Amino acid sequence: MKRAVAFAVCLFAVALGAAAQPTCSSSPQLSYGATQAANLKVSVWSIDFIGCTNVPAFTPNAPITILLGTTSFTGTVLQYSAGDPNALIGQNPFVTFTLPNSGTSTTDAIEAQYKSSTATLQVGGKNIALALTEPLNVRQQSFQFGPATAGDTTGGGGSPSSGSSQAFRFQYSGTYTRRPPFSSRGDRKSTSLWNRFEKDVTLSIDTTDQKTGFVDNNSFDAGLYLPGLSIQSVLAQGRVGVDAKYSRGIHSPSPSNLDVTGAFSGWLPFLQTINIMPKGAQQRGSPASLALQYGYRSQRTTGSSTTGATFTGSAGYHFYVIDSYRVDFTTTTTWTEKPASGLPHTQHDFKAQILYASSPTSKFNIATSVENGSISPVARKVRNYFIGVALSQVFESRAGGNQ
Amino acid sequence: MASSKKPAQGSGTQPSGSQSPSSSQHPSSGQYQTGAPSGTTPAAAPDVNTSSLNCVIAGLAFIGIKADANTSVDFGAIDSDALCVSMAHAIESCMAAQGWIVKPLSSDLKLLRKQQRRAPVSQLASNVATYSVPASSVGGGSQ
Repeated sequence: MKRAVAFAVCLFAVALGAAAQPTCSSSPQLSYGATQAANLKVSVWSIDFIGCTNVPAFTPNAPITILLGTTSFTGTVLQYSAGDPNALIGQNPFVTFTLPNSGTSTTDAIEAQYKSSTATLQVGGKNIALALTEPLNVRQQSFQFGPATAGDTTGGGGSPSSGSSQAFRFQYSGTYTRRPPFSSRGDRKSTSLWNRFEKDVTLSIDTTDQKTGFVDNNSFDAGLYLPGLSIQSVLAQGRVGVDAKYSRGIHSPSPSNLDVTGAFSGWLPFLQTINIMPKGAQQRGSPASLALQYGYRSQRTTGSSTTGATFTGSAGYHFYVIDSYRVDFTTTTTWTEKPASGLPHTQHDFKAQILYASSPTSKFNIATSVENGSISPVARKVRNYFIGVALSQVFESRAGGNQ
Repeated sequence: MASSKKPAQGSGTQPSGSQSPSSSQHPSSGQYQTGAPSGTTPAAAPDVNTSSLNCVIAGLAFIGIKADANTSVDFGAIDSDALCVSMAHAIESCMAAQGWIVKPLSSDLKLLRKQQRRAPVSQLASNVATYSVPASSVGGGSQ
């Protein structure tokens, strides 16, 4: 009897799947929930069909099959929603379901996803590729390019002492991050010490087609960090680690810097976003952020090199003015104990973005931005006024291989 | 609809007391600290609407944002997707600690950030309540 019921349920699910195949502009998102506190013997997952049409209606309590790599998991559907575009949660169609979670098995679903390079939903005899919401490996790229105008090297606003006051500016940032895996067992013991660290590699290019008078700040940066540090009301999402960075100009290879530093960063809950002259509800974004680095800098110039201490501090802050304006402010200061000849001990850089929203519920759009200063082995004090086009591209991939 | 839901009582899934907004979590390793501060007596589990509001506030506090029911969260000013994922897991863990299983929220919160939505905390909490079920009703699967 039970077999007959199960067979009928399977037939029903197959019929549903055959009747509807989702068409998506991007892969549906696969997510898991943090439910350790409930001591369940299953893990809870969802598939969000973002940007999809013709999504099949899943039936609660029906079986659902997911392939994590080559391992097949059959779970049970908990909920299905066709989506509500006006909602904040569940805007798109989604299905939630449970998968077995032994907590100790090597085939634990949460851990299995980290050991695979693909995730697939099997519905109606067809496979639908899924994207993981929390991949271990993330690659991101962004490009900006456009005309830039420079003032003189003292920041006086006149033409540079040599060369053109006009240039074509190109900015690129490429980042690879490997994050620590989530442990389905709710503790850190199941994750090796090495895998508890976050690894970042960044290539940054900010230069122009002019040899002098403009920013020429390019670097390669690699870091190893222990994330997830919190001190109530003082620090949120902090991380500590070590960082190595090589920077130099493209047009002027000398001088160049090699920094090896200890690094700390995090958000400061005691410095919340402020609302100046608010008319409606208080608005909140991330609180003030702080990043500090201290270590040694080896600075090379033609025929000589110096080594000394270096310190870099960066801060970011958001604030609101009469509900309709948001200001995003970031600033960085670098101090070098023994700078190369002709370079200052201290360099500053700041950027302020002013955003405007036409109504209390609409999103903020960038109205204008102001940037001043430069931190680079080459440029010392150059004002750049930049209006350009920004492109960004994000690639995400899973671990592929053991944790 | 959601207000009629009651969390699992005495089902073995109930944690030690209610979640405080200041509870903390280690998102990267999945290490969550849930439940009442030490030394407190477990209280009766709140209904799903109270739990969801407390847990949304706790999730925001986990990424450093102090909020209450009258606050609006500007997801465009949340500095990274990783913060949204951390907040999602903090809310899920908090709800689980109070006997509720909520839909995994990571992709929803990342989408809000991508859309740069401004979200009233009360509406977020209401939506979380809508997609929560008692932990006692969650069954198992098979491999």
